[in-house]
Amino acid sequence: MVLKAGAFMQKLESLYIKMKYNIYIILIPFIFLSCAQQSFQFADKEPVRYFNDIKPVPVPETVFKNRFDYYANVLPPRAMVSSFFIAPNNHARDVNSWDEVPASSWYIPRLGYNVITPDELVKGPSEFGPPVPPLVLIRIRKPESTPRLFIKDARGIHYLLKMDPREFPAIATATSLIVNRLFYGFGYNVPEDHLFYFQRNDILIDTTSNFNENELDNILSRVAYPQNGKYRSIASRIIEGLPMGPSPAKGVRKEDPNDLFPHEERRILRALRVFAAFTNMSEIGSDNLFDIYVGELNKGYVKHYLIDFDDAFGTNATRNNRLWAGFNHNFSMNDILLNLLTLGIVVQDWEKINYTPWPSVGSFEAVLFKPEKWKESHPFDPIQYSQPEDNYWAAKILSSISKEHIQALVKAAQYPEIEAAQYMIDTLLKRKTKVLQYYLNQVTPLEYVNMKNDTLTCIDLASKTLESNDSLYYHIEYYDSNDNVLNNEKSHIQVNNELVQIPVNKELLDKSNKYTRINISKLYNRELLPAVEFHIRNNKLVGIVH
Amino acid sequence: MQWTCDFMNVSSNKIIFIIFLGLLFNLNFLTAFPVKSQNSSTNVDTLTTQQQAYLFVRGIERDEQPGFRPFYTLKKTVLFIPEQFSVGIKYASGYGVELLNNPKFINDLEYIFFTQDKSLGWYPTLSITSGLRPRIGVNFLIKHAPYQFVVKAKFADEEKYKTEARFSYFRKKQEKLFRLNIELLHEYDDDRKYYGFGANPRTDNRNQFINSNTAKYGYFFQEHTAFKIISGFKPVTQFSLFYTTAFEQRILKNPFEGGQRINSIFIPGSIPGMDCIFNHWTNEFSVRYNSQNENRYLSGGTFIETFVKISKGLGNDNNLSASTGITALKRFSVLQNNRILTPRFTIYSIKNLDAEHAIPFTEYPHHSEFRGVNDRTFLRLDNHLLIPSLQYSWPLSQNIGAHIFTDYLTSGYKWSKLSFNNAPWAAGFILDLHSVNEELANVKMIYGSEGWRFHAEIGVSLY
Repeated sequence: MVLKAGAFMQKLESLYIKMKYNIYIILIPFIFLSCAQQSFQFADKEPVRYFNDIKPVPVPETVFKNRFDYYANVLPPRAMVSSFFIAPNNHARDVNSWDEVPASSWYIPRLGYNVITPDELVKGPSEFGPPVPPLVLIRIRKPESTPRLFIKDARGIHYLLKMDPREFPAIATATSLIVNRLFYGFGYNVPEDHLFYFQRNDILIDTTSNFNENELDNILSRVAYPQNGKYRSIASRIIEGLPMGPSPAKGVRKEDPNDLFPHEERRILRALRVFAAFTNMSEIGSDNLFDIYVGELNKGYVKHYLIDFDDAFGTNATRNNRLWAGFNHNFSMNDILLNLLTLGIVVQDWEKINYTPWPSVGSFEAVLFKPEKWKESHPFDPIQYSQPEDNYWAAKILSSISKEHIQALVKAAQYPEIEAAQYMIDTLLKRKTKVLQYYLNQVTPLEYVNMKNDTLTCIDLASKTLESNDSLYYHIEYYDSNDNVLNNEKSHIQVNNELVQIPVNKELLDKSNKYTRINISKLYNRELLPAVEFHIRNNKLVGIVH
Repeated sequence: MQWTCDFMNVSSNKIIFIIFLGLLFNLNFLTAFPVKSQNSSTNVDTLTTQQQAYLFVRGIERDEQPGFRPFYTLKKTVLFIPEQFSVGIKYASGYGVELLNNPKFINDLEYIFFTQDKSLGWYPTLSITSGLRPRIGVNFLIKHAPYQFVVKAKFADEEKYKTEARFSYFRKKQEKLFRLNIELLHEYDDDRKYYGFGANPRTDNRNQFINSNTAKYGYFFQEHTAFKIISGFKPVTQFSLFYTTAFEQRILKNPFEGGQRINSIFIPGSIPGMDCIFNHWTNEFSVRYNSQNENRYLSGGTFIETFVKISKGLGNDNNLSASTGITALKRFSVLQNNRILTPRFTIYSIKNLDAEHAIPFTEYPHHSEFRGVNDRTFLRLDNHLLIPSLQYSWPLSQNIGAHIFTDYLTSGYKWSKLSFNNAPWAAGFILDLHSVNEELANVKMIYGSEGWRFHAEIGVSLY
């Protein structure tokens, strides 16, 4: 083998000698030989609205069987630091021809696609309702700052009860409820969570358990004080099925043949950048992605849930005095170097945060919040890979949340203080506005309305949502299927409201061989935004690319 | 630098060229060719590959190609290896920080070091100082409230080790705290340095150098045994009172080997306390005022501590001395409450109360606050010491702090003789890893009149 390697290297050496003086002649054409940039070409068919990824599959292996798996598979991706990391410019792969995400085991279109009333949003995934006492305590999750109780109610339904820390009553329960319903509205599968009050004597200890009444009392002595004799909690119904454990943040679940798109290239997960920024869910990570095998064994499928929302709204930051949550990664070499070189003179935004006077709110705020600078605590692959069009899609859904929705959710959360509730409404609305202001203006925010009478009608979502009265200026280019420019002169239009009408005349379609691509770029802050592409085939819209 | 793979007879230039070509090709050329859909209307039930699913859902006949980016290609290729190296370092350190911030890992770590009820535990320590042998150690802890027993051991080699045992009793009633410590110490080392008395030992007539030797210092051996009883009382939050009584024995002599032994630098018998065994009984009373927030590692506040100590020789050692000192510092918050500027000064003073008997040199105040030398060096000994210092501290991240400082050391036979002329000085930079309120590890890089110094210490303080 050594001799063969030596002979191979000898051949390379002779190649090197021959190429040595011709290397530039050979390399230069390669460098400038450009495989021309090529755009999408869409087929003439309806967009896929539903992707069937619930075909029967055998039960996959549960991940993270032991602690070593956790250290080897979960922690290393978290350690990825984003200093030199530039995500490849990969489009999401789970989007259809209209740049939308089809329904699947990951996502059900709700807000932005269907009308969801505030009451429906508050109801959320509710199916069985809150637990019915008496409650049998089966297991206590290892005592933490906010202990969790596994219980079975009088109907035999299992729930997980999560309570608030003593120092910050209502913070975790209110957050859990509101964020659970928000993510339900965004389209994710979420567990059925309910705000639930119980008395101490509602809980009975299961005879097979290995703890006693004193231990339960000890745990309850560490949670928020009961109000009117009742403890406040979030009762999360245990999802029926076989738990598969966390979903990998990158790649696919290998044993699941239905899992066809790498998770870092799923728009539904990339969109978490926007949703997590809005709710300041800084601890978002693969621990929040939970897979359950539902159905009969070997005839079922894996369904993907988003769980554990009680760290949102800066709750984790408040409880652990980590006010940088949402502003910095837990470990960021860039920030360390910046602090080192500037001797700490640069005061970061999070250092200016003050706690609100309400323990149920903590440090949640909107004044210093900058959506473009929001960061999750641990770099999360789908968020790191997100592209402007993914964030735009998420912002589009977020724009469907109205003031009434937020008011209804905050009312359902039953904040102990009226001022706290009002503060939360105002803060959420401000955060929403900031998120939309930024992410709706990272790409040209035109949404298709119709195509009639040689005119393509679109609506400027940013202008409509943010109620802007400014004139809107768009630059338009026409291409054929081979990416040749069709219009000899650059066209532009100017409108005074959010409705934009683009001429698409017959001559252009003929010139383009029945396939025309219209690129429209919006002028925003004196720069042209990345164009939105409308692909028209045989006088019919077949594709949209933001 | 040229190197070759002899068995292949290929030079490094050629190997680098081959690697460069490989990177250039793999990183970018392969993406230059378009991918076309074979069948864009595949039935969803027959989709078995990611590519098929993608083409079906996207509804495309032809995928997008970004085209070839020559300068991006060149940059990625040229910077590939340095980038991987940099990412590797940051990844390793990021993984370390993730471990330290991970409750599961901390729990697992605690299982290794502690019993479940934390009544029994141990942890390792490591200390590396330039010019000294590294010292590894271990600490054991037994805790059963209100009692606690700790044993510490540090070892460099058979001639350098230290063991301590401490038994504590602790009582708290509302804001009042009382603590009683009984300590036993035994240390044995031969790498201590002695420079002599005064600010300029060579010209100070208290020192008798061997003329033929121009070295500035000599090494000496010390075996030190001590038994101490320390009681502390905190009547209110910011005030503490301490009383210490101790019996100490020191054996000081020439080290076993080495060229710069103390008796080859100083005339034997000229250093008080050298080449003898002496026993001391000391009584010390101190008062401390500390307004710093103990639950925060970097915060403002004032610290003042003063002490008075009487030291009496026992048996054949008839010396008697009194010493006193004061340390005062003020932590000013600058810009933010965790950017701290700390001016500090420390004063020590000793008086011989029995003029007929000299005070052993090891009983003179030691300048432990001066960071220009290690703690085994007696740089300036005199009746009065003044150590002014200025330090600025700021956080780098949640667990890493940085400090820059400058220290001076002045000494004098009288207060009027204190001078900053030729006074030893040091300036340095410290990085530390800390929990909410305690330091866990640190690295110091210091330069001063005594040269460069490096120090690293690792040892989780869990109690």
